[in-house]
Amino acid sequence: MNKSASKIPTQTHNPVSSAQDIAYVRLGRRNLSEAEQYYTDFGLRVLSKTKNQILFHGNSSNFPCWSVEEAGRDFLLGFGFYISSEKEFDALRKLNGAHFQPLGRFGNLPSVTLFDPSGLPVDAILSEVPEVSNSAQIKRNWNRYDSIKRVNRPQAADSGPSEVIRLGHAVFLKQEFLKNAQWYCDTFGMIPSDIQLLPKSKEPVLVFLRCNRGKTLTDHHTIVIGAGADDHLEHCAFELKDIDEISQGRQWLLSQGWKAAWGLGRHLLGSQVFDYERDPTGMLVEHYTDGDKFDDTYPVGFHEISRKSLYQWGEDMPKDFLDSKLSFHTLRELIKGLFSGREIRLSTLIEMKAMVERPPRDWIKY
Amino acid sequence: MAKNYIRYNKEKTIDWGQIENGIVYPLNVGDLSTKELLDFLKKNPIKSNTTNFSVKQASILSPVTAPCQIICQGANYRQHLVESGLDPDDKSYNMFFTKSDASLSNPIGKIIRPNHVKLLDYEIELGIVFGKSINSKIEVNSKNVSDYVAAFFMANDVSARDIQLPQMQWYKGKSYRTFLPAGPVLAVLEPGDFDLLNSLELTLLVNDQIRQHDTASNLVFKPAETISELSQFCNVSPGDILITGTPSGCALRAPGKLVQKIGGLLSEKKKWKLFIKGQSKRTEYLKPGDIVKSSIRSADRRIDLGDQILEVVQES
Repeated sequence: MNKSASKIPTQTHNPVSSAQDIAYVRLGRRNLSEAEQYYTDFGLRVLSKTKNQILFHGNSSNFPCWSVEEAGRDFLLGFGFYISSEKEFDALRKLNGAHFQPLGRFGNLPSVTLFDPSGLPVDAILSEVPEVSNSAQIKRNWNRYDSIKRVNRPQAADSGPSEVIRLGHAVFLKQEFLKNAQWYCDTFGMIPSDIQLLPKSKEPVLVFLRCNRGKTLTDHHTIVIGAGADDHLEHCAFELKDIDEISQGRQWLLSQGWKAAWGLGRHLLGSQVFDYERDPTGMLVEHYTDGDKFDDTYPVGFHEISRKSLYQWGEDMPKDFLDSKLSFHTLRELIKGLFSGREIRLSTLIEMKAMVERPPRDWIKY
Repeated sequence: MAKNYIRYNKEKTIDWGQIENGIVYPLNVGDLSTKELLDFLKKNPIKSNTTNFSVKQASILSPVTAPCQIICQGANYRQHLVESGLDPDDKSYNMFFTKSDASLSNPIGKIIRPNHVKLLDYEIELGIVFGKSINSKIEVNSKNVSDYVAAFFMANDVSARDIQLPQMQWYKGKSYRTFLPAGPVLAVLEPGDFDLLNSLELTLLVNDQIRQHDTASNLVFKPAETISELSQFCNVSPGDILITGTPSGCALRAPGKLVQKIGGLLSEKKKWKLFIKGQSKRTEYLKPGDIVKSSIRSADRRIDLGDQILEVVQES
């Protein structure tokens, strides 16, 4: 180690609030009709539609989890958390710069909008987390070596979009990793589940944050904050019922002419079976199932970051799955960040770039 | 899967309990030694039915009890060798030393810096507890190593570098009271668990900054060959421990090759005076008020040795 690594983000003992789950993500898109087609094929359902906004929901609830809004460029507009305590909601309202909306963004629930250190609007929505309904019918029964579920009955051959149950998590890259990650811990009570470090400098560069719901179980991560050359949404992930749904969803998207990114595979941290696709703008979106669930006692783990550490098994990861090129836009954002006095560690970005370019398995040559 | 036990003090009574998801299931066995606990577990594999409680309600003690023999390995991670000024490819010997069992202390507690010590250093290490006596030279290999290793635990091999090196007194420099925080967890291994050693990740932070992080797969001399060699010159009893060396990232930094050569030309006294002067500039050495946190666990948490939280205090 040449110089001491930065601090790690840590759980706060008295956070302003305890977010209960991610509620929605808002995206700006130039082409709304293309986005509508894509996300319908992806497995979301249209909840409402106006000239400049489409709201989608998952199969488990009628709350919107995905808002696509007309914009001059394709970018992340913001996202929201569910906050179930009125007391905490009031405390958030009193924070500097907080903006209260009695009917919220979508006219259904009160919300307060805050800005994270990167300037991203983050909405706190006063509501219990919608119950995941159990009504979805079981489409496929599996014959196992020790239990036969289908007698004289072949497996149903379905085609069509998979059924998205819910929005599971979002991954954000930030120029100022620690400042942003700690802000989510302090403001929304997030708990680090796993932290990844650069191999040489031991610099922390990625944190999986979960909600603090006490004994109630929550996903391994609801948001992820990683270090990046610019601030952007890296991907969002949606929960599906099972592995058949994931494969069927991939099949459907490909059949409709959309682009796959990487899958199927199983992650190490979080354990999900995953499949990554690309929306029409090239942004990654993930279908997953069988993720880990934790209460508030699960302790934080530390791991080296590498492509290898992304999966325990799976299809070979394409080289372009992780973006190591500095696009014109990214470079411009980086220069802007440096000139505006942001705490950006260039040595970290250089080490990350080297890490990202290393193939994940011995037999994969980039 | 390994079962995790803690030794604790609750309402002025010392007992052992099994721990799962922050809940303690008391064994009601009283203040057994580590060896006696291992014997008890062999005979009574069933959890007792007493009331369980949250681990927060008890104060956790070292799961390694004195008296016991403490055997240590030095410079046993590749990157740590480089930092210590040694060439990993040149080092053909396994380096052994010992600590006094008076240094054993609790995993959530204090490291006391003796008044005459300035260069106080930390060393996170994976510890193993012997489960079988060794009284003669034996051959241990990957197949039978788990016969000899009953449990894993976490240790911090706290070291006073200004005693250890200039006075060439490793035993003294590493044995002051509170210089071996151990635990919290005694992970008693079941068949197949020993092989998870390679996936254990060791992490140590000072004031929430990462100082040490490595994986036990980077151990230079692994437990099997280490125990084989140890058996040539050392008897071991159940309950004795081996701590297997620390990864890179300690406060101690060896001077470069050139400086070492020049140092060789100086008198011993002058050389060590310069050493202490040089090391004193390093802000990484522990100071009163510092908080040292450490953990050892596999990414999939099949082995989890818990978290140590230690505050550095000045001897009063």
